[in-house]
Amino acid sequence: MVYLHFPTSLSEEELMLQAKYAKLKKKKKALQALKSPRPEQERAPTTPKRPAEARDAKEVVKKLLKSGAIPAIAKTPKRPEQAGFKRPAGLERKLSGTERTVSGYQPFSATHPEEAEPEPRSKGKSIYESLVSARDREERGLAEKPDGRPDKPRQGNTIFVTGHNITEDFLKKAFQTCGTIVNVTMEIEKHRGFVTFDKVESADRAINELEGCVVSGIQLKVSLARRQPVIQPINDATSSSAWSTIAANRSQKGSHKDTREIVQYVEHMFD
Amino acid sequence: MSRRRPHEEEDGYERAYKKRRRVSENQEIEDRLESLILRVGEKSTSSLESNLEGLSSVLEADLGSFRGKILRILTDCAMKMPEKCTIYTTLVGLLNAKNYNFGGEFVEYMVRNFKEALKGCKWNAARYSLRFLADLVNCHVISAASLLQLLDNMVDAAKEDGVPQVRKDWYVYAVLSTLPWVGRELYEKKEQALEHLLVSIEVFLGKRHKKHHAALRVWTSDTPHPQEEYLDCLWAQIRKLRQDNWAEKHIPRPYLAFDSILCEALQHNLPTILPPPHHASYQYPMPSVVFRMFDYTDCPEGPILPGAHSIERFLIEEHLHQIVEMHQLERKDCAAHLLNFPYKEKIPLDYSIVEIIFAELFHMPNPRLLEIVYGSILIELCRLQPSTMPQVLAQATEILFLRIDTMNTTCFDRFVNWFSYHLSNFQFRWSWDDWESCLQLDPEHPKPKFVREVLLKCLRLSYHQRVKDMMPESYEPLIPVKPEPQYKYTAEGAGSLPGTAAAHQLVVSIRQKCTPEEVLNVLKDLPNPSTDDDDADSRCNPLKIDVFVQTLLNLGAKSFSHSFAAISKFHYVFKILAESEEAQICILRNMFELWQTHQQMMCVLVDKMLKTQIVECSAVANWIFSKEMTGEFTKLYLWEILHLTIRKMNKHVSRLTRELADASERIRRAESDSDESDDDADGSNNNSRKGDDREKPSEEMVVRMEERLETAQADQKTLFLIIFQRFIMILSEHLVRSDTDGKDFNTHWYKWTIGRLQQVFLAHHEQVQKYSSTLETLLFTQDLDPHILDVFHQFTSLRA
Repeated sequence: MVYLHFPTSLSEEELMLQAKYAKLKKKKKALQALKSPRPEQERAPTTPKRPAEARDAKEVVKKLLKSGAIPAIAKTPKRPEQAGFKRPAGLERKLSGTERTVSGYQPFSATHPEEAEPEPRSKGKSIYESLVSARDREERGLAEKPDGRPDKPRQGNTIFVTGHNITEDFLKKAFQTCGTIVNVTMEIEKHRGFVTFDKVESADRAINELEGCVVSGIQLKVSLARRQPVIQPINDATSSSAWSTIAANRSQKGSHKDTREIVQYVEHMFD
Repeated sequence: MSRRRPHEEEDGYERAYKKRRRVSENQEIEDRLESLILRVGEKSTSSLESNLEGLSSVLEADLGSFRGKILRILTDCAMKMPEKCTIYTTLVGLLNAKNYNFGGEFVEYMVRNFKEALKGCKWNAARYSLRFLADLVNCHVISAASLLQLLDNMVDAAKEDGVPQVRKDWYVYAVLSTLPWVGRELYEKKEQALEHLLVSIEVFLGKRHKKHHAALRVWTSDTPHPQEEYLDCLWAQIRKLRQDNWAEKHIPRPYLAFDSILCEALQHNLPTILPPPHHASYQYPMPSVVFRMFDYTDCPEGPILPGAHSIERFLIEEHLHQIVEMHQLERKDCAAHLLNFPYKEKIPLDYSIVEIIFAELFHMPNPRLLEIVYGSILIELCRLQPSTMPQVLAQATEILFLRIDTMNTTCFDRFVNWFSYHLSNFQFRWSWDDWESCLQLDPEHPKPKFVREVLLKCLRLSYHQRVKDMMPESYEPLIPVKPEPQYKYTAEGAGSLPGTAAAHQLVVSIRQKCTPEEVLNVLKDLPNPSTDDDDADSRCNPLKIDVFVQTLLNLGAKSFSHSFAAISKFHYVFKILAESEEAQICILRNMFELWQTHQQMMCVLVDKMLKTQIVECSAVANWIFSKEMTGEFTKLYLWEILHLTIRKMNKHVSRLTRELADASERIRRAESDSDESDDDADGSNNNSRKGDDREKPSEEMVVRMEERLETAQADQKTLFLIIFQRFIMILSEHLVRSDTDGKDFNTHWYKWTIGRLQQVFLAHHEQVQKYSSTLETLLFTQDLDPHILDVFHQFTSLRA
């Protein structure tokens, strides 16, 4: 039996290689992190690895979706001509495209692989495919549209602020010195909000001046919001910027908090 | 035994399966053909031309076995996808070039569809098939001469005497709207005949009455954009097209690429097609006014919005309207398709879309779809195109507000409803500061009125504090007061009121869950302040009603549901107290006294009381025009109440009409069934029982139904008579007074009131039409002030 002897200490060369490897690994990680869209930093630790319930899993997915960490499964919009007139159910199956890849014997399929297709039919098929594939792309394009903004260098007029117990009024007050605020969107229960300025410079200023600062006893984290609605004014209609921002944020409800007293419905005198 | 059965079944399955396979094979091919035809022209990896060529070869090969199917699909496509008209005409042209017989059959089929659409009053389908036939001239399927003959026949229909103008209008409109497709071809081949056709049309248009025009306009002013009558506008566009030698830039014409193939083909002649003669039951489309709110100066740099009289504007608008109609049930699809408009690079699409959606929303007399459909499509458009659409919409809002002074009252209401709905979806954000100048105006001026009504609507969509918070302080005078009941019997100084003691007693009783009889007992001793006459006392005691209505509604003030529960529990008391119309008006007056700051509550309460037959429609109408309501007269909610009242009445009448028709039909069917069952035994008897679960109504039942319908119709007529009479009274009074005082009659009040009169005519035109002649002889007589009479004449000319 050959006894291989490994020295306990590494040679100089080995140590160097090891350090280099670790460095490379680090760099690779950093690169990956840079490339892939990151989930919100502060959310990561709170996300349970293994959700206890299916409902939780759904919530987690929703959150991830919202943060952009995972792409949404594109919904295929209804086919336009369905509104026109009805098509047989068999066609629907065919149109889905997946049917082309099914293997094995299909008793109800009209076209069996061993049956040679007549000439004109195969010609029809090619038109068919060209139509179908283009159509599918088209539909996907339609579905992606709202998210399809190109990845521009990070720049924009909306900032993302986190701080304990911040409110809309607080944000307005804290950031009004940086520029004109067009819109504030809050996620109150998560202690964060988005502030949109009318100019990109104001947003930059806000980040430079207030990142990490303590305002009225609240430690703030200020960064550029990941989703930047790009709105160039096309006309001089006022209010349009507010509407645009709201439309772009797709959070029409906003952060409004209903402060009314709850009405008690206790009397039953008309029963 | 049990072991054999599955085997048997298997056998049966095998047999059935073989049969099914044969069927399904054909089915598969048919399905594929259908999808190929449906999809041609959509975005594709290969060119449209090569797709068309390929498809025509496929179809040609299959003509033998699937002729009928192919004919049907192609004609369906022609009618239902008019936006792809030229693609399908090219396809038919190619097929005709390969197979002349098929071309002939197709034309025959299409002509049959066209005739059926005309007979069935499916005007759009008829127009689309006419357009398709016309475009087939471009593809050498139909001869130009025979198409011109058809167009001539149609224009001849416009020369008939003794038919409604709307019928003539439609035939001319159909011909004109076809010309963008085929004008060039006719011009090249049959210039003389085409000129002749256009001259006939011009003559017709010159003689046409346009009394209705004023009633259908969104704005009374023609600046900056004229509000043109639809035929006049299209005529101007066609004239411009003729000037340009019939060259238009909007319609894609794939057949041009196949010119060498198509020009070889033999052409068919259209058979002689004569428009079906007019029948009293035919309903023709009503005239309309072309809505325009933008021109090229409103749009930013980029593609230019075609001018008002360019045919492209017409084609774009028609296409967009059609997309809305096609996807009306799916707002998301609708918005996506609008934004995916095929020629979006060539036009400022956002502006065109916003314009046609407002055109539909403001369409007179009624929008084609529910108002909310348009609002929701606009929101969806903003979501899909956040960078531009909200801005265009904001600009549109500014423009509409700027021009609101001359907007008609009905559209004013729709604008209020849309804007408040839109605000509620956009965090109630708007730069109100820019509209501050409206605060200096007369409160009855449309601008401050608009803001006030929008805030009142916002109140329904959110709540008082929120509305208050969203508005700048300067708007204080326009912000609605907090909607709360004002219960006088617990207010300060209530002690001096005659009913206070009874009211307090009533509160205690109702809280202790008393019965309706006990309520009457509490009210029993309240004296009748109006008269000592015993007779009147039993019919209407204002004090009793006062105490009861205000107390009860105040106790149920917490929510709509509480109020409804209160009303239904003490329905009996209402019925006892309010037999006469006077008493019913008294109920309404007391409801108003308690709830005057809560408009929505009043609307739902009136609705409820109508539904539960506590008050009659005529009482509501009389209450609205009563002296006590003068201060509320120009407020939107009051007219909301009037219209809901009229609608309730209309629905009642239509329901009874339907029921009666249904019953008579059942009797008729039962009789014919019994005849048959005499002949052959129980077989058909079984059938009839299956088809008709309900028993055959007796003659007596039908007579009773007829009576009920007659009563309802009489009520409906009375309701309209009351409303119009009251309108005439107050308007005449105003005109006379202005005249004697030497003041201008055309005040804000006058404009609102005459606008409301117009609204009653237009919003319920189908029902009012039935009583047109009665109204003419009883109310709208020649001696009436021409300003009021004019409104009536505008209305009657809608279907003239």
